[in-house]
Amino acid sequence: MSNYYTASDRMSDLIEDNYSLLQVLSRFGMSLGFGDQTVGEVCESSQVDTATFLLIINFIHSGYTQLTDDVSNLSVAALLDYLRQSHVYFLDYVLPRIHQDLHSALQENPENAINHLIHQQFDNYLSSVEKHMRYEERTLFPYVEQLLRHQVDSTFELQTFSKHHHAIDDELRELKKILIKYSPVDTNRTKLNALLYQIYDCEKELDAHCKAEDYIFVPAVHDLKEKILHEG
Amino acid sequence: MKADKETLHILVAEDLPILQGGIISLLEHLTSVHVHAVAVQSLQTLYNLSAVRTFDFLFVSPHFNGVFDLAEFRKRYPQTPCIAIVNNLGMLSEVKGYYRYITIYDDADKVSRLIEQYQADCTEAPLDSPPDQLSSREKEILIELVKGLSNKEVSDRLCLSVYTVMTHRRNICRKLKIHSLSGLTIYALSNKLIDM
Repeated sequence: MSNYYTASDRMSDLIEDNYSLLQVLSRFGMSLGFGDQTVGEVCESSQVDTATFLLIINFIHSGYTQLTDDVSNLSVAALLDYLRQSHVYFLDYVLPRIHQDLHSALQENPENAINHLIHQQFDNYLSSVEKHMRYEERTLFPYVEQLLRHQVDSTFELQTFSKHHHAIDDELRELKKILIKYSPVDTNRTKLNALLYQIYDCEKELDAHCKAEDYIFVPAVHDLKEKILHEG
Repeated sequence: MKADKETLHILVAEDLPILQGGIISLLEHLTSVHVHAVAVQSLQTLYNLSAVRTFDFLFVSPHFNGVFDLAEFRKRYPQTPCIAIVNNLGMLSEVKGYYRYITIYDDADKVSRLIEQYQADCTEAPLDSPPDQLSSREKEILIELVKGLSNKEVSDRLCLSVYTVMTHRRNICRKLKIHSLSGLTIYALSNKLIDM
């Protein structure tokens, strides 16, 4: 079907069609400069499972509306790597940068009490994203690693996971609203606008990350668990 | 307004690509509700997804992957209402047991009404929701809260029950769509309810 990408499509065409797929490449550790190689060839030379790669890019490309393959055909190990990298990207790169720019946009008037509170609000948000991601790294990821070794920890509840994402989303939305509605008038407008763009981008990327977890990773993990249980 | 609405999570299981794409697009563009719809290609993925999260609706063709076993799905996931996708009138005989059905002749309004109908069926009617303005009582309570007083302290000071304070507090957060104390403080400051 031509509305999905397949292994024989050229990798460079994919990126030209939709630059947001760049994030997927970098998280799978694929570098640019692949010339005219196809998706299948690039995946193979980067040792990335092609079916998993295709499902993720088709999901993103369709605006998160299409799961073009069975989640049971995926490599859970590849997905786990992908999500780990994605955590690194947010915690080590995106969020610290927003923090820095927020500081710079607000610092022109450090006496203003609202500025101080906006900082506080952002710090709260930052720490809950971090807490959430660390929580996954401490609980969900080790559980999945066990599954990959064919061991099932039956005390673990997979269902509770997707519920957490909602709360993080709400916090960012609230912060954005506060910046839009209640920023002190003497805030540097150019910096504030640039900051809002960054926050919107970050929100989109975080949303993509959460959707990949909720609609691809967690169901694939569930499928793996069922397979292991049925093997006995 | 749409930005603040709760998102409905909807699964779509329909083999015909144009129909599937059309339903997804129609759902995602509804103005009355915010929808995230995902199409699945196989029954296995449908069940894997349903196992790990609850969906607000399943839009499914009675012919999905051959014949869709509605009874089996309802047995396992009774909380998800199933809506049949009917693409020819002959299929109308197969919609028994579904919560409702839509046909290819329906428009977005019909789908919208169907979703609202279901929500009305399951939830008690909300009180007439007042505009986003805070009442003077709510302002009074907000001022005490952002001073750092607990619900109990506010209730003592204003001679209200703790329960009433909590209800007011919930309403304040709902009206302002701000849920953190620092956020409420920012609101109070910029609306000159308090000064630092």
